[in-house]
Amino acid sequence: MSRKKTWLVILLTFELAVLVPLSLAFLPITPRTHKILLEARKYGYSPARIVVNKGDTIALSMASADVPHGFFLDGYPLELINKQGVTFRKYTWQDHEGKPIVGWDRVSSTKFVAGRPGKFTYRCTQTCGNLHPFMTGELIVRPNTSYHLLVSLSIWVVFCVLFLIRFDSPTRFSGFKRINILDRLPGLKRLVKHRNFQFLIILPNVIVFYLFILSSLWGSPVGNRNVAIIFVWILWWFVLKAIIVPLGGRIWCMVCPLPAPAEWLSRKRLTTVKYFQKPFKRLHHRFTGLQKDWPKKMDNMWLQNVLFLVLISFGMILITRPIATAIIFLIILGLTLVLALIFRQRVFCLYLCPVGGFLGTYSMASMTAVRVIDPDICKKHREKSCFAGGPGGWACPWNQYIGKMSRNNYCGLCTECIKSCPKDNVGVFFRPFGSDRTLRGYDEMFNVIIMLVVAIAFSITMLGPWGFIKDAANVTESGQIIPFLIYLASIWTLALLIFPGLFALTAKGANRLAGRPADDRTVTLKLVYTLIPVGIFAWIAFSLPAVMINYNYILSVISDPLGLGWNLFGTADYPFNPLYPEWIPLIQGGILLAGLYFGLSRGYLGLKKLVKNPSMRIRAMILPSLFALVVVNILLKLYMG
Amino acid sequence: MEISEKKSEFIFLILLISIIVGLPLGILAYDRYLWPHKTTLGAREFTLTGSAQSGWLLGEVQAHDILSFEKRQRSFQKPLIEVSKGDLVVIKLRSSDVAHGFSLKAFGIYLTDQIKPGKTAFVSFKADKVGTFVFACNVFCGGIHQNMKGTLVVKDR
Ligand code: SF4
Ligand code: SF4
Ligand SMILES: [Cu+2]
Repeated sequence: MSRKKTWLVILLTFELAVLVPLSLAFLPITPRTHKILLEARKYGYSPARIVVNKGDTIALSMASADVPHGFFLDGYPLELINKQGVTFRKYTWQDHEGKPIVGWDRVSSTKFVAGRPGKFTYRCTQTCGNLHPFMTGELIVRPNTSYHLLVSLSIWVVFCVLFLIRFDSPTRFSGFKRINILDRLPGLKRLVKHRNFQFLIILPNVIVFYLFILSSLWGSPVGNRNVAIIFVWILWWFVLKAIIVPLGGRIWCMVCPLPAPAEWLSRKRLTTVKYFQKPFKRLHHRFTGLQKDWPKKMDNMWLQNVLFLVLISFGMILITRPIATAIIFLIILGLTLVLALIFRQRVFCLYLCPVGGFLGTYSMASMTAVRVIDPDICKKHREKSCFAGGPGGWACPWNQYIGKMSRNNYCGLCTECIKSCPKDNVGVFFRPFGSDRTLRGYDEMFNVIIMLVVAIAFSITMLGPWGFIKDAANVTESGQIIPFLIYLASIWTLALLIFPGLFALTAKGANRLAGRPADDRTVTLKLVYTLIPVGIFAWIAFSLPAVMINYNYILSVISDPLGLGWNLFGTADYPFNPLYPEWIPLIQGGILLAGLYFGLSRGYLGLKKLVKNPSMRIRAMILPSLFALVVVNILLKLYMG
Repeated sequence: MEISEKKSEFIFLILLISIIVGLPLGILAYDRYLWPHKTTLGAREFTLTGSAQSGWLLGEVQAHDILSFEKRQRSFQKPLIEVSKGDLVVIKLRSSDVAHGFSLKAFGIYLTDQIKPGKTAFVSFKADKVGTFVFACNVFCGGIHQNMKGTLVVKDR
């Protein structure tokens, strides 16, 4: 099929995918009036979801079952506060100089017309307790055209990718050739090769994380007034998911301050290298401590997978209570120190760090990679300074041999090999998204699936309107042990049993459809790669609202990090004023579609080498595409439906 | 001029240590001496922190206090502030959870703005009559709001 025809088909189907949901919007509806008594209680509203038709009138009266709560409706100029049984409505007008003035009117009920279709979240505006930032409800104004549109487009994306696969050309999806950044930017190369480089970029992080620890112990006990909560779980998490992981992969590990003290201690150096001519246990260094090797049996990600699940089991508590953040950081610091004295190299990062787990699998898709420039030079170089250590740099702290490295998973981008290689054969490469496409084993597969399930679970718990789920997750305050256990059990079984099981069946079916090009394990590990881009983009979509809604907290803790009433830069009282909140569902939908596209196309590239016959390739891709489509539609339903 | 390895290691070590020591000291110093909300000389200063579960607590509630049992124990006793007649009293008001209020009727003090979490409010008055007075929270804060009270005792000199 010619290029032109291909694009024509894609364009025509796109029009179809747009027109069908749009035409649904013209079904006639007769407007009516809804009387709604909205009862707010910690931490939810009832009704949690209000569903009306476009043009309907809503007569809203508000009540609170406990403390004062607010009501801020995205996309509509409506803001209420209810305290001591009285509801106030916000109004603004301009004085004769044009300055906006805010006032509050006492009202018993508020009427407004739902003129704008879509999904709009209403949020509490009064700090009403630990989970206040998650206290939301949803107004759905039908026809929810943008949701229908995105569902239809998600099917279209799957169709297009399958269509492009069917009429594959050798260069399809391949992107650009990798670029050695260090070659292009000699200044950067000099910088990276400097011995003080890593220390100096860790140092600012040391200060910041030290401040987080101090603040999470001695700062305000209220989460949204404490820099540790706001910076770690809103700002850092978003930047990590949306920028660092897709672009830089493990680049966080390069600047992470938590294992740094342990590394300095074991090296007994901060910046310089201590090189011994004679190797000791294959290395040209002597480290502090016992220097044991990590047990072979545990050389996998299972420990990380389990620890991540443990951590997110208390996720709701962790991200709302400063003290929980302190405990996590102190445990990590302590563990890195102890482990550095027993084992050699960064075993905490490799085998225990719960964040390190998904950083590893997600970095396979990232656009940055440290690799050798010419593998033949390495073959001939007998000393292997990168692995054993050299006068210019420490032996790879992540215990990797870069000469043969083909995946990003376990390279912490520490830049030591760039410094230690005497042949100047190591580069930092910029490459297309989704370049390493082989998973090593089921441990990595489970990590990918766990991440996906947790993204869905967190979307339900933290972004959804259901107060009872929040209560279950918030066990230390609500005291609801049984619901909490049910909550845990559902996440763990979904992540360890149901989703992996369903995916295994999908892959098995795909293998059979494709005429068994390889054993089930190989095919499964290839196909699960589709879920890495899907997962990365799902996490971006999940973390986005937190910054768009709560950026005012970021500004205010900058001026008052510990919540002591300071005002360093004059931003301490920055008001709650969400940024285009009515657009959040649509943006999230777009992000999910991008994930779907990258997942399917990159997953296909991984499969391509395995399946020789082109018509078999498309048959192999059908079931995994449907799996990814279902996952994306679950999230679309949560965010937009 | 090249700095020798030993020297640079030493410089960085000093840098690191000064951060570790300097940051907490800096925070303390800023809060105590530089932050402009400072009170009049010679005043009797108290800090009261509101808690929806425990009522008024004397002193600051910091993030780590959530763990300690002591603070919870204290919840059963209402705070007592003792001053002498003629003292200038300054009360620094803080919140450990939700918005609270403060009123001390006997001295005509009704805080109109709420005490928001992470913020600081001050009230000051001259203790010009002897007796035992009650202060309370005047913003409905849930929990034990009705019982969120404390005692001010003004003694004769
Ligand atoms: S030191 Fe350089 S040339 Fe030698 S094996 Fe390592 S990367 Fe290759
Ligand atoms: S391979 Fe190189 S950059 Fe990666 S962790 Fe090892 S030494 Fe550091
Ligand atoms: Cu609320």
